[in-house]
Amino acid sequence: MKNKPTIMTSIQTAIAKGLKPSSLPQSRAVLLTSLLLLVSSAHSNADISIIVSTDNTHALNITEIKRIFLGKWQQFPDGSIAIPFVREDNSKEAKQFIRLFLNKTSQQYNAHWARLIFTGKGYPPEEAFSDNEIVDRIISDPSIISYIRSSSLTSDVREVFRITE
Amino acid sequence: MLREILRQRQGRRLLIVATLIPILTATPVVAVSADSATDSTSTVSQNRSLKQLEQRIRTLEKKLVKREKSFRVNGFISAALSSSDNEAITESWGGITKKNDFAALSNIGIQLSFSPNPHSEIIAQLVSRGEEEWDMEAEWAYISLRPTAGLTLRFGRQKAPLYLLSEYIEVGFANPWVYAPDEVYGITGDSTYDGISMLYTVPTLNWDTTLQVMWGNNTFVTAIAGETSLEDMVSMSITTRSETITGRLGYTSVKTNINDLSIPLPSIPSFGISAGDTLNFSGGAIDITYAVAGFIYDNSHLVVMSEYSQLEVEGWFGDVTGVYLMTGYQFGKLMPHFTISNMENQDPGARDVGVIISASTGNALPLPGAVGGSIADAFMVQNQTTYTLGIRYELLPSVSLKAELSHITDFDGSGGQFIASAPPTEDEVNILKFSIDSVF
Repeated sequence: MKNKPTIMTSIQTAIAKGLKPSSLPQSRAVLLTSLLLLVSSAHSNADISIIVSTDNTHALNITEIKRIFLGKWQQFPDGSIAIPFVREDNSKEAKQFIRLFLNKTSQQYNAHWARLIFTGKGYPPEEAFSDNEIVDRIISDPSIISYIRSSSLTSDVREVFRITE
Repeated sequence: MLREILRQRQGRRLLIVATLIPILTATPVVAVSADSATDSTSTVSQNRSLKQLEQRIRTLEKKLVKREKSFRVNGFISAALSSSDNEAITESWGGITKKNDFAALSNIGIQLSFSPNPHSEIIAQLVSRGEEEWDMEAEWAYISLRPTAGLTLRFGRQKAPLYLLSEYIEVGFANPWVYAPDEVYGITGDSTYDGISMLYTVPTLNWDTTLQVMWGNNTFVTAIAGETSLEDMVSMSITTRSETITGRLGYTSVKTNINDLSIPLPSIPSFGISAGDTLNFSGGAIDITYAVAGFIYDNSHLVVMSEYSQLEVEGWFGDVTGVYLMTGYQFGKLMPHFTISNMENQDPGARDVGVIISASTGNALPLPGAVGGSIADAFMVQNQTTYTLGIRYELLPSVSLKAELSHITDFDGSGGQFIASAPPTEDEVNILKFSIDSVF
């Protein structure tokens, strides 16, 4: 006789298969969502943390961080090189960062870079495709400043600013 | 499109790294298991090998990233449609002349840049314009050096920063209008030159201040004076920016060599002028100066922008002041905006140097200087005011749609910014403009 699958095993299977909650029966999806919410109760899922290497001990204010991400200045306050790193432009994280932190629409952000690119004054930051990639890059290069979901924060990086919805 | 290519390249990079992992890991792991006498030594060696492999992958990745970052291709395009309700005259800067013109304000640009190291870069920007039969021209072609943070030196072909938007005036996507105010941007037209420039930026508490100085030469063709050379163009500007405010002061001086000018006149019987007689000016070296002040306030919702320029030209060309004030508000993806712009001649009656030559005798007509001057004024004096209502829509993050209606009036008997055999007979011209703009 087959074992009747429990909700938890279904969820585990679903997660293992990389399914989204919407592909589960509705009641299970609701349960899964609430479980996920419980797991991440320490901080809202929507929060974004701006992070640097733990070796980087500079105190940074919002203006300095924005300058670096908008290509206006390429140094930390002590004169060491600052390399901004962003998520790919169609990611939820990038959209949230541009809208909430840089206070721009996607088009205003792209127009800002067009003005720099076509006058030879700068290029947009390199893109990463996951929080893990960003954390790895920061560990290997302390001059990088980037952002990840706050739920992906680890002790390997230092949070310098948190963006909340 | 470029982003897609980059993403594919990035994907390829990850693929290369992913392919390398099994290849790189296979040999040492097999070697370790064959050599190891005990489990613990095997684990230690495996860990060491893994660390070395990680290191090698990181190095490979850095090399790939470096190669990717050193060469870039970027581009922009504007496909426009303009329509004027007066076919007898041609707007002089963009060349808007007839109904439903797809070429006048359209262009495409490709920029190639190569950065051999973080301190130098080579850039070529090629632009092809509908107005010029789509001939491709190098607008920028220079090498830049960055010896220290904040300091850039450029050698080669560049654009003079005459006004706030001059350096990227052709990138429709980067500008609010289909067509920047003619009364300021149209006076000087294109500002490309060959020479050297220096940019020095100083960041202070909440402001970045940039000093830009350039020196160079250029030769260009004007509708009225033919081939004209600009020599010893020196342009200086200081721009200061906070998050929302940009302020700018600029000053440019240049010597120009203008050819002798001969303008055919229509028949004016009251002065004994027959059709075909010409109004002649002697050419030579002329000093020109522009002084400009401008500001932008942009908090991502409300935009207010204004510039005031003063052009002074020695001799018979007109001294002109130009000014515009633009304001717009971003409602979601839509930005309606309104602009009022005006140009006003500052030296009417100063053209008594003009001589009218009879086509039949080849001699100067015996007319008082004031008459020649007033006829010359009709060609050299420019006055006009434009009211522009526009809207910009964000179709996609990299594609915008724009529409504008410009009502141009107050010519005061002059030809304004239009080229015609005679000033517009009615004191108004309406131009409708649409464009789709993108960067890639």
